[in-house]
Amino acid sequence: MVVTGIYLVFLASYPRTAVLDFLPWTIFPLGTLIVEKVPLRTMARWFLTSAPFLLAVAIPNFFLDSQSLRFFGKTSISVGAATGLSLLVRGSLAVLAAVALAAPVPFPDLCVALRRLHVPDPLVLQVLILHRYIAVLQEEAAGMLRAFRIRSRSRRGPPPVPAAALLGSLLVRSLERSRRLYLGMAARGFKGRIPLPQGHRFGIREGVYSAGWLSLFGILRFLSCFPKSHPFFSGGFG
Amino acid sequence: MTAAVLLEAVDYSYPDGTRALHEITLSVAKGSRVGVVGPNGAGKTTLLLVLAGLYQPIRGRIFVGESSREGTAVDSRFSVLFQDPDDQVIFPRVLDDVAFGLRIERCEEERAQRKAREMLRTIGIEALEHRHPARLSGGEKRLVALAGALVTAPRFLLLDEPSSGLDPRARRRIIEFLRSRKETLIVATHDLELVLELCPRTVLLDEGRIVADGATSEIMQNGPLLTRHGLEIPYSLRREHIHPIMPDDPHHRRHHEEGIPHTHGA
Repeated sequence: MVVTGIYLVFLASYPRTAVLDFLPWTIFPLGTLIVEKVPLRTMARWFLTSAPFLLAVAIPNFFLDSQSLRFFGKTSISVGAATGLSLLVRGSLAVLAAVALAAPVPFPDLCVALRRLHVPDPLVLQVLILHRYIAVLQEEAAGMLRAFRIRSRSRRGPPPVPAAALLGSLLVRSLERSRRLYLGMAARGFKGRIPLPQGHRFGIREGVYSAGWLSLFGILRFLSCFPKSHPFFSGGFG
Repeated sequence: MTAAVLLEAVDYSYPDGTRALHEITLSVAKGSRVGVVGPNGAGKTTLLLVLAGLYQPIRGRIFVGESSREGTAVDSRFSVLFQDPDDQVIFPRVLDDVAFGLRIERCEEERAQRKAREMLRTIGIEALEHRHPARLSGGEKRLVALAGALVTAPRFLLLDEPSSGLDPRARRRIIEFLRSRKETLIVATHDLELVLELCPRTVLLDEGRIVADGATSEIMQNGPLLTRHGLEIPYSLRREHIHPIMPDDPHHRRHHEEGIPHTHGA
């Protein structure tokens, strides 16, 4: 988790128009995904889920800064477009890194890692509960939508007003669920701190793994500081 | 027989003022199995939650063993199986969820995992150890919740509709399992057949009051009493079940005459 966090910091440290600099940075997420044998379907699902957010952040940049930047030969590209492309590449790498972190590690172990990083307990608890109950919430939402379609004899989703009512109803159900959930936890002795499995200890193997990747990140970032002939190799620190 | 738990004139009201329990006086013997039945809104679930210490009575006293229960803490001698197992199975991995109660009790990690595995084996669901609750069937989730409730070795097991949403095989499995347990069981349910099979004693609750308390076999055959309180005699005790009407059915008669075994829905 620490390695992934630092990886994201390094990605963010590049200048805003950097694109090709990120090519060697694919080694970390792709290498991890291949070693952990994460199925392509899982990666595709995460990408599809995050794609609208990535596009929403990147696309406006294409229209913001119209200053031109030399591309290949005589062709040029606007600074805004380069920034948008850079954001897309960074975002995609961040998603890949997140999949590489989350897919092979059992979720409770991630929560243990969060706690070791001194993330406050209530936050860890919320993440854990959210992960567990998102499926239950989806199931309830799907059931409500199905019921709406059957009763309205329509294949479409609900128009805005009924949709708002359904959302409100879902919220009320969620609140009711959270009350019952609290009772369920209290009945088992919960008093505010959730006990998590111990997870793996940070040993020599983990130390070597972290040191190896962090050294590589440092080297890549250092090498990228040297001036390149192409503007997409932006180098430097901004 | 000594009372393992005794409620003396217990009243409970919800925060909005709705009275849910009226002067409940109830004594439950150690190791016994008691069924709590009644129509919707009778106060069955509330009674279980008051017993577990999750709800605090506004009046009356509760004795567990020799001592009166004081304070507002949840009583660790009681375990509850909730109606909806999704309210109870909170961890994204079955083994972690079963070990939850033990970890709360600050049990060593290795011991907690060993005991959780043992409990899964006892219930016969050890194959589910690494599964995510969202990928379990309703029956499997209920068994996981039961494992989580039993792993801390409670003295009292409070079960809220333990058979709801279960197919016949899962229902049979849970009944047989509960029959084999030594804990004091209090079962709140609409499933009168379950009570007939599992609980020698029945308490009939209506509008938050105990209206009958006695042997299950007697209460379940008292048609007028059950009808008055929104229930009916269980199917297995009805006269028409003892003298089935099926032989008059021409389809059934033909099968009977030809010696073909009768298979419904086949």
